[in-house]
Amino acid sequence: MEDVRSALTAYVTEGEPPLGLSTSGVLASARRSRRQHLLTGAVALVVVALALGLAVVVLPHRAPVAGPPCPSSSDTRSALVDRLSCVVGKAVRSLLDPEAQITRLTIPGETPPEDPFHLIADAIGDAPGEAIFHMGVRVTDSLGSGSVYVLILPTGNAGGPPCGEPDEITCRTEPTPQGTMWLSTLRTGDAVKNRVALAVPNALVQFWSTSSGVLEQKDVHLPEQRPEPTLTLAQVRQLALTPGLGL
Amino acid sequence: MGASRDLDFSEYFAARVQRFRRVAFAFCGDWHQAEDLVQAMFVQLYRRWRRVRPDTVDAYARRILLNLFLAGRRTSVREYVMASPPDQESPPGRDTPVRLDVERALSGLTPRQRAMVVLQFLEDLPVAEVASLLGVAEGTVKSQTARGVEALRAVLPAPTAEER
Repeated sequence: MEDVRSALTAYVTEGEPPLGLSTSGVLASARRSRRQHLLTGAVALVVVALALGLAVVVLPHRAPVAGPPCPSSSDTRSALVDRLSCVVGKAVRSLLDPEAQITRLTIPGETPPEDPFHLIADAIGDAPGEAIFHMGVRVTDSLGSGSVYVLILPTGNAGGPPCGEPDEITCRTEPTPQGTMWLSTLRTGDAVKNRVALAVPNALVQFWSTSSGVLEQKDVHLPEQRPEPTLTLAQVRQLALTPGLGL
Repeated sequence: MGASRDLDFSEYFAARVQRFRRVAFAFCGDWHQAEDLVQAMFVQLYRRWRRVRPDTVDAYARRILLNLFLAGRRTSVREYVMASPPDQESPPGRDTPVRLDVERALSGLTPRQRAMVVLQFLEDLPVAEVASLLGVAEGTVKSQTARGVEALRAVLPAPTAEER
């Protein structure tokens, strides 16, 4: 191995040019590099701190993502269901906590659709709008489980649910540019329900929200699963006024 | 504190710069690039000068140099553009036939093979230390170095009876 060692030593020593590096030059470069290194670290630290601060300030108040627009076609029953489901889904989601879990309320044996807001259309005629459109979702958040329902009836100029029901807590009517509105808060089983109906020219649009995550059905006593209905009466009113819910 | 640090560093630079420049040249085969590598090595070393123990400073510097060389194989450290070839005559002994043959043999090796040969035969490092520096098994160092040595021996003059 000595021959290899000697050959390598000769390779690096024979004809070796004079040293082009000086102590002062390298030291100056090293000091400059060290300063830049420290400065870069400090700047990076400041940037990270600013980014974290910005995230803390901005993220909790960020606006919900708009998402793609809803389809506008109502030529067929299926297209109308898609359009209404999209409008209802967007409107309800915009009022809920982004962390809330939304699941479809179903009767035994019913398979929940992929989109929990997909409306059921019970036909009462042949035209696309001649059907009863409805659905309900359970909403579970940090306060417990509640629900939100929608019912759209193709009964032009029909009245809303009249005041004076047995379990009524409050009830009133209100004229709006879109049509007459009925607003009530009722007791249903152990739960409470906020309900708003709006009579538009060709339909009655009704939303309600309860403080129980159990499906509302005839002869079913609803347990209270959160202190208040998922949506306040004002929020339910806002839902009823959502544009694009006519048939 | 800073003055003392610079004094220590300057002393270390003066004592080691030539040796490390030779190692860098053996790595890359170009004196300009070797100086760039060594300068970059000392600049990096300065940043950590206070934290490096005196008994490990050579090993630490060698590791920086090796990493710079291997990284430079992927992204060239610096590119030289010259308007015309240098008109200076090569120093005596610079381009002897044996030297050119050694250079050719070394340039036929992969950068890691070449580094193994240089560290083992120019720096006299044990196989275990070379393996640790390159992050490979000792067996890999042995087999790769054997190929490098074979390539070098092929271009070296046959040893005389006394050399054997």
